[in-house]
Amino acid sequence: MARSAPGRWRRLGGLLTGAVLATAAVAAQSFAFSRDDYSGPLTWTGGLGETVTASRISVRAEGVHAARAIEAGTSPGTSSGTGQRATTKGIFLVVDLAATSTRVPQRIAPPVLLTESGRRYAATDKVNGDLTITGPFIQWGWWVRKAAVFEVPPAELAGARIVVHPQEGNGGLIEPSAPEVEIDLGLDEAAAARLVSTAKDVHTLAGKP
Amino acid sequence: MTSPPGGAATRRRRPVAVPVAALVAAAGLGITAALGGLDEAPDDPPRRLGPGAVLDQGEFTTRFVESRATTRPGRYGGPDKRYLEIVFQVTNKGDETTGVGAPGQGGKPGYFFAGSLLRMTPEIRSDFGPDVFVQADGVPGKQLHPGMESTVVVRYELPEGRRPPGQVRLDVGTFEHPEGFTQEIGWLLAKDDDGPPVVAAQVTLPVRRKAAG
Amino acid sequence: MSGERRAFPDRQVWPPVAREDSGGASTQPFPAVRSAPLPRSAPPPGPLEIPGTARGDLPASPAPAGRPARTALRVTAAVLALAVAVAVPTWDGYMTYKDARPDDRVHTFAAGRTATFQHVSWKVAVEESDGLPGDRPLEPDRRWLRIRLTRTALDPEGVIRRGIPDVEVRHPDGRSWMAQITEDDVPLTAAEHRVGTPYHYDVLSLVPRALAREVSVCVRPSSFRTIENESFEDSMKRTARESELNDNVLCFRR
Repeated sequence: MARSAPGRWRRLGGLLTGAVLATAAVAAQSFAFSRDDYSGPLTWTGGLGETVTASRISVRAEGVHAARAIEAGTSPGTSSGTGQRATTKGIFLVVDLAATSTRVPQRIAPPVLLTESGRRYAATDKVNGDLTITGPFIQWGWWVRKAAVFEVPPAELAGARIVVHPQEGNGGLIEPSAPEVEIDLGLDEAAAARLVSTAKDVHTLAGKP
Repeated sequence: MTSPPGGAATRRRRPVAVPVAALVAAAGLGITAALGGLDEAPDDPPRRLGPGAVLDQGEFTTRFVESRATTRPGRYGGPDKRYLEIVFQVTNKGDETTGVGAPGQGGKPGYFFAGSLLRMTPEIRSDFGPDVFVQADGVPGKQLHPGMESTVVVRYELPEGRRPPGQVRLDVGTFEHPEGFTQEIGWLLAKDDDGPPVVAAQVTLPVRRKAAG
Repeated sequence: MSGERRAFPDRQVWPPVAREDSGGASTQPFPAVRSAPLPRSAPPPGPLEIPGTARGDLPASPAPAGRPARTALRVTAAVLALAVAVAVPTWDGYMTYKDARPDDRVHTFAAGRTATFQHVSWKVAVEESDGLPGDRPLEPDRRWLRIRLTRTALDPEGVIRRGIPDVEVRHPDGRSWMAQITEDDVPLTAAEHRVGTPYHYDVLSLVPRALAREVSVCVRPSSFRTIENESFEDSMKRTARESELNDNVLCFRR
């Protein structure tokens, strides 16, 4: 009996080690990347006013405004006069962006506003995309300054971040690990409330389309 | 081969108990099956709703506001065009911006919000289906943002010479968010297994005449 | 735990010994074979040797020389397996990417030279400008390049290859800028398009002023062949058969 004890202890130890390894293997699965994770975008982050470079593009958020209506600036070619004003049941958040390319000409895809509650607001389709950051090609050597416009409930403004990414390249492939820039707009509760209370009645998007 | 020893009485009773129990169970199952007890429980019948009713569609909370017939001057000086419009108040309860989409037509499935309008009686056919948009002062949109209420209009152009119906009945489905195995699938129309989408509500809306511009 | 164990004496379980109380019950499932057992397969000759024992596979007999080598082997195998697991999907993804976007075949020419490619000769003339008539003044860090691209068909095949080329302005380090064709005098039909006659594209590009002298104008001739009086289906079939890539780029230095 005394002779078999160490063997039994060793077997118990082996069983325990096995159980621990099995548990660890199962637990490790919860850290495994889902498909969305490993093919999802690579995100470069920054704050308001900072230049954030995400491999292909550099983006800077230079200012944030709120407005109850958006009007397109005088744009030759489009039907003039009525119908150019956009309104919303929430509020329009206008983010002034500056963007440039690090190598080859790029276009910016419609940006997304990521809120504290985890919601994703796509840039509004009520304003002409040519007047926003999605319009012009961005090229190396100079900054393109255009806005991104979102329609959001005022309560969602605090803690919001803007996500900007270049359009997919041609070739029709969905690119894994595409670059994106995420900028914290620096809106705490007080700043968000101030933004809403001082919202302009009409914000005019400048520039030729 | 011999049996173990036992009393004569037990030996006589035992072959009866098991077959009888089996027979009772089989008969019970048979009767249950014969009476339809093993069929899948039928779905709740579609709710019957009218103007102003609210339906929880999973991804959206939808109020069926009204249905109206409108007339608009034709383009390029052509004859006036008549439309049938159905108006909804839609709140996106999801986490992402989605679109108003379009109802299915001619076997082609619809998509996004209007994809849940499974059938309209009477049917109004056209080449490109109805125009679906978010109505607002000024520029109309096609997006439904999370947490925001939008007025969605589905506008059918009536074929020339066709009078607008007195009322329309919509078969409305709901959305569910199935857990994807490796990736997010998003909101899909609720279905019974692989069958057609489930009709959660039948909404009857009288058509209001209106000479809008 | 071990103290509670009791030792049992050995007991015969097979073949079953006749028990006094069994009273006719038999657990023997089938009749015993009375004949002599079949001869067993021949036992291994010589002393019984479990393979591996002598080489020290059992933990009881440690072989200090063998263990580190085997551990090293295992670690190497694990590292290799990990490397392969990472490398294969990456390589596959890269090959898919490259298949969709094949590398350009760049042909470089000195300023003012004429390049001949696929039955057409190409020539580029570049003029810098600070402003365009009727446009607002240009920011001081940028410059317009007004490019005049000349194409001459060298034979009837050159006339067939009259698709609109892509034009781009490139710096040798890989940066590039958009260039847009604003006007052209290239005839649409083969009947008007004469072999040996130069036709032009007017191209406009905006580049950083500091780099205006360093960039080259890169022309990607279209591989599209426009054959007169060919039905659409035939043209689609022929294009699929010819499967010519648009990967040749003619770059003219400034």
